[in-house]
Amino acid sequence: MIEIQSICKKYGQHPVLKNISLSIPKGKVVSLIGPNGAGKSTLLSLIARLEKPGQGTITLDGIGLNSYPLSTLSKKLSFLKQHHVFDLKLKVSEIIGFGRFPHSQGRLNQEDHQKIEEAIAMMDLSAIRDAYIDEISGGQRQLAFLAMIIAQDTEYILLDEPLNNLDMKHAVDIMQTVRRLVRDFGRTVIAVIHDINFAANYSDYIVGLKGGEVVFCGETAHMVNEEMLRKLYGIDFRIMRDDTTVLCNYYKI
Amino acid sequence: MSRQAVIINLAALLMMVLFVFFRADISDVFIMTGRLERLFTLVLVSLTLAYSTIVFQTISANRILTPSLMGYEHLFVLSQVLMLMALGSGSELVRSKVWSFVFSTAIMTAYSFALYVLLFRNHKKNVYYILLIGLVLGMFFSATTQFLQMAIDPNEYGYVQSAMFSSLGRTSIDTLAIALLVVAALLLYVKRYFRYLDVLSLGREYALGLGVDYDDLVRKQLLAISVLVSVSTALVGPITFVGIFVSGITYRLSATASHARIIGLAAGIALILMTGAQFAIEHILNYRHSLSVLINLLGGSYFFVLMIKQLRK
Repeated sequence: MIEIQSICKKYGQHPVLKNISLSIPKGKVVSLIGPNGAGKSTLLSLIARLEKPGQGTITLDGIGLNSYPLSTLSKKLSFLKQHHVFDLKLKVSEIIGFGRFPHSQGRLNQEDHQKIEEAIAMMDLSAIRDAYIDEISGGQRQLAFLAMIIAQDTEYILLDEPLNNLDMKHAVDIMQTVRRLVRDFGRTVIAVIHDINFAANYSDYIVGLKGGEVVFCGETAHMVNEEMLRKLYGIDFRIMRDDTTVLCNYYKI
Repeated sequence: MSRQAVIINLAALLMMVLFVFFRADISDVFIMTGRLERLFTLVLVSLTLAYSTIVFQTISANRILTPSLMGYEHLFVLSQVLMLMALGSGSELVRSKVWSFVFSTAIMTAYSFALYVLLFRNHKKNVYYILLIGLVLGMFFSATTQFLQMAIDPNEYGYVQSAMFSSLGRTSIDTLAIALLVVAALLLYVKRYFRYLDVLSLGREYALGLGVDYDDLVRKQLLAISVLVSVSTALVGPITFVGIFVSGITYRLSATASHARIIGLAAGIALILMTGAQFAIEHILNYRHSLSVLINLLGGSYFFVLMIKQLRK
């Protein structure tokens, strides 16, 4: 459980987050949605302790985020960036091996190798495990870095726009992996997602941010409706449901 | 060890042997100690050059910048001139090699931190912008040095001049001993961080996410780079421009991102270039050219060959 209490964050004079309070439940897929500049990525990097809030506190499982030593935090919480380096002579399997760094400080042991193999199998990367990351496509690179995060083996997983620039197949692959991580392994995944339909179909819990404030937060089934989405994005929606999916149409209304 | 690393190591070893024993009369103590002294200097400079260039590129997250391009060596010379002007050539502090070295290193460390805070911490900054700033700063330092020279007593001018050109002529046993001590202590100190350097190249967010205290590590590495560049500049003058060729060749030849291996390979390549150039100066060119000119010629041509090869692929 992550408790966020009256968090404020400014970049220079410009406030990005204005007095945000939230609690994020454990063992769920949680989506952060909202228009550009809403403060979603900032909130995520505060939870990952990559930046310090101006005011307010964040607690992780009842303990203040700042009380965790870096080495403990890196075994409890992992973070996937939006942009990756790729001009390095690193093989896909080596990238995934970096995920074990918090556990073995770069000296891989038996358990590390096993976790790396599990991550490769889970992301179906065995065909390109020996390819260098500058030789593979952007989508494959995203899968490789997600596999690194999986190998890191943490309770909490933060993903900053994991679907950015991906084609439909890769996007579905990643979201299904996220669901598996939560369902089969009991992880908590918090992801910034721009595609409202992925958020609506794959997440249990949804947080809508706009202009640095929380517009709504709660279970997806209760949050995804025409009125809420219009409030959040400022455009009209028509929501269509069938047995398996919900579709938020905003293309031509 | 990869095939490339074996070849580079063998070539470096061969060059070292050739450098010492080529047409040498082993019984002539004067010639042999002179050669060994120069070889030892070149080995030290290769090591400092390889470490400082490669780690600097990892921290600044690109493969074009080198300490030399960011004006480090010009700053070293400037700091020597400033110290001379402030204290006079008669001062014990100026004459003491240790203290003038400490003074320059302190200034360069402060400069490193300023560069890091203003330019590198935010990786979104354009590399051409940083390069331009570095070139302008370098020009500023060297122009200031030249301006100050006009105000220097002609007798003291010679002291400054020797700091401005690279040569192996001014090393002596005691400077070498100090340099060796500093480099050995520093390499011992940074050795334990080798594993973390690889994580550093993934960037700040991933390094922190993987439990590496990025900011602290970067500060330590910048300190190490400043000391190493000071050592090599104090030993042979401004020479680390060759770093850009050394790193370029290294990245093209190596098939790994492991810093321990890359730095080793880079040191080998630097050593081959330097002993090769110094060998040519001593035996073919009859001491007519400066070391840095020849190294840049050698390194530059090989770098071009590699680039053309890669373009053809």
